[in-house]
Amino acid sequence: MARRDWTTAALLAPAYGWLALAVFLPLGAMLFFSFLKAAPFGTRPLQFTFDNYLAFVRRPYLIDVAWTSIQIGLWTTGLCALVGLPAAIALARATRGRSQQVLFLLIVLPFWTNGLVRVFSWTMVLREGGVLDYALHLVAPSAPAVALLYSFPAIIIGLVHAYLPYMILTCYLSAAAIDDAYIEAARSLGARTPMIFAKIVLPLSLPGLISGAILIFVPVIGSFMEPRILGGRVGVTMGTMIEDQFVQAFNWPLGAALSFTMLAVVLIIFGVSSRALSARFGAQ
Amino acid sequence: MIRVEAASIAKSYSGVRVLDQVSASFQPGRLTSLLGPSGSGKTTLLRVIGGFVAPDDGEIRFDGENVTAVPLWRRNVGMVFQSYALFPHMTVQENVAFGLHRHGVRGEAARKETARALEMVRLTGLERRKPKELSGGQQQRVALARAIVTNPRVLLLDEPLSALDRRLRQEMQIELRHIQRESGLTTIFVTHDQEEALTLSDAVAILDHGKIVQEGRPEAIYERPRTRFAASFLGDANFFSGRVTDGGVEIAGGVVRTNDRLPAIGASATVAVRPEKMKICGAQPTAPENSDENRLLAVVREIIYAGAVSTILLESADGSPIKILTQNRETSPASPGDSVALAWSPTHSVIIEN
Amino acid sequence: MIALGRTYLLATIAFLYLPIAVMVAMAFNDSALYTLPIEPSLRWFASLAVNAPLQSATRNSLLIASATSVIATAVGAMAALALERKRFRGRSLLRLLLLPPIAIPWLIIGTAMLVFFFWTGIGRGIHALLIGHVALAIPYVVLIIGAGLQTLRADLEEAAMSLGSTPIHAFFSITLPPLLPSVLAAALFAFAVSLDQFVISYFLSTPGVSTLPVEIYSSIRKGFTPEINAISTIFLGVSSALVLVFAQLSHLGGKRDSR
Repeated sequence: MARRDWTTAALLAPAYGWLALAVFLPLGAMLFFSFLKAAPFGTRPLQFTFDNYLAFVRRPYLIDVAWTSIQIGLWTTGLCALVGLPAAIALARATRGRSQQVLFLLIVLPFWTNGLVRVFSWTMVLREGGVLDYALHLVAPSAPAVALLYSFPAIIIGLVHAYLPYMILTCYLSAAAIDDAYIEAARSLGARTPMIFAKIVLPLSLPGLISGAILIFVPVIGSFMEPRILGGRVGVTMGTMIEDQFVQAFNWPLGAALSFTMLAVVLIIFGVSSRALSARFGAQ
Repeated sequence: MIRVEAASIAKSYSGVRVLDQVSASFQPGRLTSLLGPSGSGKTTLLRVIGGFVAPDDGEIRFDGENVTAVPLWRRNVGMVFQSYALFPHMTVQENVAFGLHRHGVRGEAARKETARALEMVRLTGLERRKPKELSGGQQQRVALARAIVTNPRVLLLDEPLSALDRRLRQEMQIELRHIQRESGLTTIFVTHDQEEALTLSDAVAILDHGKIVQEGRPEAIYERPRTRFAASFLGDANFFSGRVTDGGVEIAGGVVRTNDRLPAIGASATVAVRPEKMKICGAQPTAPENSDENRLLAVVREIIYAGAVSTILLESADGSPIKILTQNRETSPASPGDSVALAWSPTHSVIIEN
Repeated sequence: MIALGRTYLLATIAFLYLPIAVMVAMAFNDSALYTLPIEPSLRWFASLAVNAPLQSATRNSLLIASATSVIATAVGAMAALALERKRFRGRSLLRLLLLPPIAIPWLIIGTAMLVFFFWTGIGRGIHALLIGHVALAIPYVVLIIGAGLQTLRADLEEAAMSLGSTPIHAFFSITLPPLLPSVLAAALFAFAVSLDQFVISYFLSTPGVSTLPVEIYSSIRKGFTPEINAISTIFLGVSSALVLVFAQLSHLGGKRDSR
């Protein structure tokens, strides 16, 4: 028996050792850093402080930034839900066989192309003189110029476009798992399609919606790529702030504290929602 | 032909004792069945003998040699799994030859042995098929061929016929018997089907809750079960309980006579009588003068017709159910509602432990 | 209602592909300022050939992606084996520990890596990028191969051992062959994850050593260069091809047909 335990440990060691080195230790180091006054490179002695975590109190503009991030998160998640859920249900129940497989692949494909490239391509569509502007003026030459780039809506559009496949995927999995027998039973009891949709398909697809929402909200509030590229000066979020601390301001302790604050929010969201999910659908 | 022995095997899983000091010996060249309900430990015992699982205590011996510590891949046993466990990415030929290759037999010699094994199970010609292209019965035969081709020291079968339909199962039972006799391998066969055990075995060991309840030749166990469990698991039985008096066991409808040794007078005792041993004879409540036949009055409740035989359900004087089995040689001897007398010989009254 | 659903679905897909189509079109547009209408031209693809930073970044990306694929698959496969096959204390905890790299925003992980590597002297550069990419790929590999392992049957290995196979031989001749599609799919996935990775690469790159996504990002920040469209189009083509192969290997999508 001891021999088998040794084999198990040997099999697990490389992977978890790697994760320890690359993920867990770094997170620990950053936690340590967040309590320091200044980064511990150099000869000055270490000074511990809570100041970094009180940054929201000391620097009120951070609250605005945080609020912007949350707004971006809510708008993106909301729109993804609004657009994605119907699409997922349509995919799961209005298509079959080969065409269903092809459509599924089409939805998943952009997911795997470079996110950066996709964001960049939106700049060409949204900017003044870009595709949208051009197309509008082809139809209505005297309309005002469309210059959506470097605005809040532009950020939202870019994020929704990037994360929509997540939502469609999770909702699809829920919707596709609905046993046809439920629908047949409802029909035999006299329900018509709209009622079946509202009373059966929609509620049973909700778990997918919730997991999709979590899957989207978390990375979105941490995003910095899309806000910078599509938002310009308007695009100041927690993500860009944190990135600044590490790349420009070199205030690593502050960046670390901000990161962990965000991480705490993320974990709370996970904790609350998984409890809510299992409470509602736990008996499955 | 190897003699296999299990000595005081104990095995527990998560605190549950699956095998409780089980000892058994399996005669060389014979087929022994391990019979019992699910959870009785029969499969666990088989796997301990094969080396798939190590016992907590006890020894397994092949021809006297202690093999308990010998790992599975060196024990040279042939196992036929309930799921057949045929390698899906290999052909029938490759499946059967697998063990041969592991034992160093290759090339022409391996091909010859494989062909011989396939012929024994009557599957010649299907060498190139993959398992998924075969029917259940064919897969089962491939599994058997694969197990016997390496000439293992013992052949183990774990409910191999349970996935087959009734007719196929009966055919395979007979074929299995022939193959086993032809190969001369010491064989241990696990089943929960008592009919199967009776058909196939030279010896049967009945297991219940990790203990061997009774073992011996099928006829011996069937005719003389030792416990209520053995009597009801292997076949059917009617049970009559009462107090011992001079001459037999006193029950509601009279005194049951037996040729077995009786416990002390006044003690409680239970008698088991097999259904086919009882017959209906008119309505006379007492036996003729010179015979010591048992007689019991009962009322016919239901007749279940099954072609060659009929099962007749009756109710005795005190309301307890009785079941008898008759061959339908002529028209039915009774109808529901009739009051009849049941008769049987004292040799067939078996005193059992409670 | 079904027709409505289908129309809506197609509209959504059109939305998903709109900017991509624009980008691909622009790659073939002669104008340096993305002015419309489109004048077909291959000059941007041609100028890629002499763009040294882009080329070196592409080389790095491919190198790192290949190495990541190999390492992550090997390491992840071993872990998946241990996690799926044997029941032991702490197994669920270990499974949970695979979540952080996927669940925690990459911004946090990236900055944490930067901090830690700098502090411990590991520094930045190709080796740091490799460490980071492999760490991100491992959970996916374990997930994919783990799923493949679930369809495996323990009795096959037992059968092989009863016929004389040692456990190691049984693993290689019986367990591994049906697993190959999963292993390949996992390797492909790891390759794609690494190739596509931006955030972590951003923090672990140096001015001289970066990956393609990072290079694209700095180009965007510096100003529009149409070459980016060209390289992105190529990138898109390669990624798509990978995804299609992966899909073939894992039979994604659609209702499962019965065996």
